[in-house]
Amino acid sequence: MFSKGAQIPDHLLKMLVSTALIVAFGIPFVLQQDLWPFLRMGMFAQVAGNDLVTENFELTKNGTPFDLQAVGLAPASAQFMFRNAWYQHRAGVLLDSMATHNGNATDRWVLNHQINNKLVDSVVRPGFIPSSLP
Amino acid sequence: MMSKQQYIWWTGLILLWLVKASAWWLWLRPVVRGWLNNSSLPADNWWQQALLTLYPRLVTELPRLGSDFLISRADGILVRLLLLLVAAFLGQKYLIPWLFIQGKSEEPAATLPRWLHLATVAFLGWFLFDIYDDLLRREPIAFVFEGRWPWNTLSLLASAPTTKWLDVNIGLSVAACLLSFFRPMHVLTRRLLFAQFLVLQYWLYGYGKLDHTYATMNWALLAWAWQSTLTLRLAVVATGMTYSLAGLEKLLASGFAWVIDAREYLILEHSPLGSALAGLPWLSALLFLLALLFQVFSLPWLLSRWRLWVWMTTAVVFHLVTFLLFGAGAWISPWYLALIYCWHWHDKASARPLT
Repeated sequence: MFSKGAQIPDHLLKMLVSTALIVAFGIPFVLQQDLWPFLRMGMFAQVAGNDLVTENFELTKNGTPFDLQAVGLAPASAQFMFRNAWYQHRAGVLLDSMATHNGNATDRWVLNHQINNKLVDSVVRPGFIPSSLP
Repeated sequence: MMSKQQYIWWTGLILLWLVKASAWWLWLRPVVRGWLNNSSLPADNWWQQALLTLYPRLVTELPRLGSDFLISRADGILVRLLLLLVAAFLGQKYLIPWLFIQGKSEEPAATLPRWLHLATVAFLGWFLFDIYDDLLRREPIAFVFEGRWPWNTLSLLASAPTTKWLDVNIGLSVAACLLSFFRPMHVLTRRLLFAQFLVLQYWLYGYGKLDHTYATMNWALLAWAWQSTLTLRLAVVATGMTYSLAGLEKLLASGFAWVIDAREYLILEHSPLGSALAGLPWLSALLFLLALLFQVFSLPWLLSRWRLWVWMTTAVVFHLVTFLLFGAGAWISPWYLALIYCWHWHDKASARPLT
């Protein structure tokens, strides 16, 4: 395509290259949004501050914190995943998946949302049936 | 000298920007602010749906950052659009002629030297395994995370057994790396490897996170897969633009507060070198200022031949210091492949600089 003796006319090639540069760099830069495979360069662009709100998600199975590393999930990856699921209102889907892969139908899976180490909200796995019920 | 047609074209673009800016400030801004103040973010009409599709993180970030912050980011879009117009104008005037006219009049870099091919394959192999390892560590995410639109449209890939698919993929890529040394399949294998590298990055992106350092490596690989003076120069331009945009991002997102509050970063990251430097606020601010200047002016520095060596040395130091201070990156980073291509471009007797 770009080799010696290319068939594409010069003006078309120029237009293609200009468009590629604008799409690759301009659009992610303007919209402040990653667009695969063209990436925004906003890493470390925000001012750092130590007055940040600390947000934490805790996954429990039958009332005990679930050991995520035992199933190969690093804490940082887990927090990332929980946070996404929480704010996309998909915590139930996540808990169902966890239950399917790491337990049985009678287990009580709960995702706790903590702000500054205080519990503010929880989601219980939708499919959970308490064993005390008929 | 601009032709009449170009004059009309650029005047039209600036007028269009003025119309957009007026519409935002006088009409849309209060409407969007009202919508953001409703914490449930209803998607009742097309523009609300479009915004939530384009920025799914709005739902995540609104409770944490507040509507004022998000509105200020929206204001920034207009400023960035104006900057893009200026950059496009300068690019059309200087960069595009440089990429084409001078490139054509010189000896085309039709084939890259063997050492560069070897270096590229080594880097590609390393980072294919890096992505492979990254995906394996994220494997538990695969069954709960479906990927974002439109990348989840490749559901065939996302729903395949992760480990097996990855094993086959990496096995084929190792074979392709070896094949790329031998004719007659070497061109095809290079292009397939380039495409495969993009697909693996797509998979990472589908899970919601992507290492932005691959950005320039992709351009270096483009010059590897389609070898010509034009693609080699594109890789150099892309490298410079990436650094410059990273610097501009810092200025636009934080202004000079990014330099003044440098200590906060160092304290928060808590690395041994960063902690020592945090005790010297003036020195840390100076270091951040130098880093910012290096990034913002990377493109003109990189395209200037006699200063290229200074630029490359600074770039290597910049990445090493970033790694030591913040743990960002690694001793071997995708950036280095882009730097090697810049060095090769500089090393070629035919590669005349812009200035």
